[in-house]
Amino acid sequence: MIKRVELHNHTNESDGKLSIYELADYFTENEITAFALSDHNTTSGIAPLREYKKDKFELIESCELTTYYGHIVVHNIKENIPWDDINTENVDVLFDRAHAQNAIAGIAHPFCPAKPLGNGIRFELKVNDYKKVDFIEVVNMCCSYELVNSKAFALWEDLVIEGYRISPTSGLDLHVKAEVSNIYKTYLMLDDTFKNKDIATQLDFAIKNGLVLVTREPIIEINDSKVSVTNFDKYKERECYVTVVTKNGVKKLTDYKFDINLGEATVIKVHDKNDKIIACRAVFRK
Amino acid sequence: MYEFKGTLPRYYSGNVCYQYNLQKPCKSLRIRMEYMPTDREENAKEFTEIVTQQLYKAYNRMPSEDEINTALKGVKTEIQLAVYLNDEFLGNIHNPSTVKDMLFDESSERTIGCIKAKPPFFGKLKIIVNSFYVIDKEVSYTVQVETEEA
Repeated sequence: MIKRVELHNHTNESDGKLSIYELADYFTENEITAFALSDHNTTSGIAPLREYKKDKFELIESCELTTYYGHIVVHNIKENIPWDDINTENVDVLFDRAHAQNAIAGIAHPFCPAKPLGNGIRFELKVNDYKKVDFIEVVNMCCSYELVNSKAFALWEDLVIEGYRISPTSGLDLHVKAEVSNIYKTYLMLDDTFKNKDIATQLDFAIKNGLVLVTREPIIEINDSKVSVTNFDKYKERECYVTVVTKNGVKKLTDYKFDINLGEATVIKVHDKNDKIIACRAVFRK
Repeated sequence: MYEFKGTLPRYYSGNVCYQYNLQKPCKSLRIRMEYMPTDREENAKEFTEIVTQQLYKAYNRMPSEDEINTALKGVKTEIQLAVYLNDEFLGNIHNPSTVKDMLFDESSERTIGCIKAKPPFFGKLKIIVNSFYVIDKEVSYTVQVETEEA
């Protein structure tokens, strides 16, 4: 099963314009039926939204810990996480607090502009142990690809190749109604045994096991050691190509079916003709 | 009613925390924080040099006057409010408004950004004034806490 999830959204519970109900209606009207409510420093909208049109969508219960020095998105949150004791030299404690309640946590838009252009939106907190980071938002749709997202892709890739089990995610960082079709999307690439599990379980498993695809369009499928990019002929016509990164280096491929070594940390990317990454997945080191 | 007053210096990123006990059960609790930014446009201008440098680094070229002016519009003083009772989250108002007003009682509608907490309210109250950035030379704020005994 492949499931689209929108993982970074705000409402008027913090600084967004939509109410929680308008957000849910907007997504369901656009056939996005699994999404996070991730307001800044508050979980206040979660309980009321849980009771709204229950059979129409799956709610990912989240919060964006919005500190003075960077943002951390927490999914499957059970209760609000305090951060007023933030220490720039050790952000690990916030990840520990998230994990203590079986939540998953990752870094949002790590390379956004620093102060005074952005008040705390650039990630300037020291992570002492990247094993605690479950995902990195490699694409934030409010940010420029060249200035911000390309650097986030590079950070994520380096960490995966070093052996960290960090999934990539994308986020609309929605504050007002915005384009939801022609954008980078995040998909959970799970097998059918997960069909009847709840969204929290699906997301948790996918993030922790690298079963996450971030893409503008191409679907990268991995079955055992076999990798394929669906409909690659279409992308080949557009001069797209694939790169496979391991600790041994980068291989550029023009074929859309290839084998990888499952024991080795690997990043698979599809690029457009301008070298921009348009899809990516990781295989974690065993 | 308690009223706390303070000032935050330019560039301050951090918090001011008020923590005390509501010794008698209360049927309503209202917490209001207001800050008084001065002339934002004028103060933002003083950041022109820093902003220009940041844009230069980002673009790897000198930014245009338009780009600098657009960026300066985003330079702002930003202060938010969070409240906990007995270490349990009551609410957080994180929006551009300079007035943050939280009301907890039985009959009123839930304050946006806050949970629908039920009275009586008593025990350790923690109010956090979160300053994300101050562009004024200094900015004054007040925090008012109003309670009604049960």
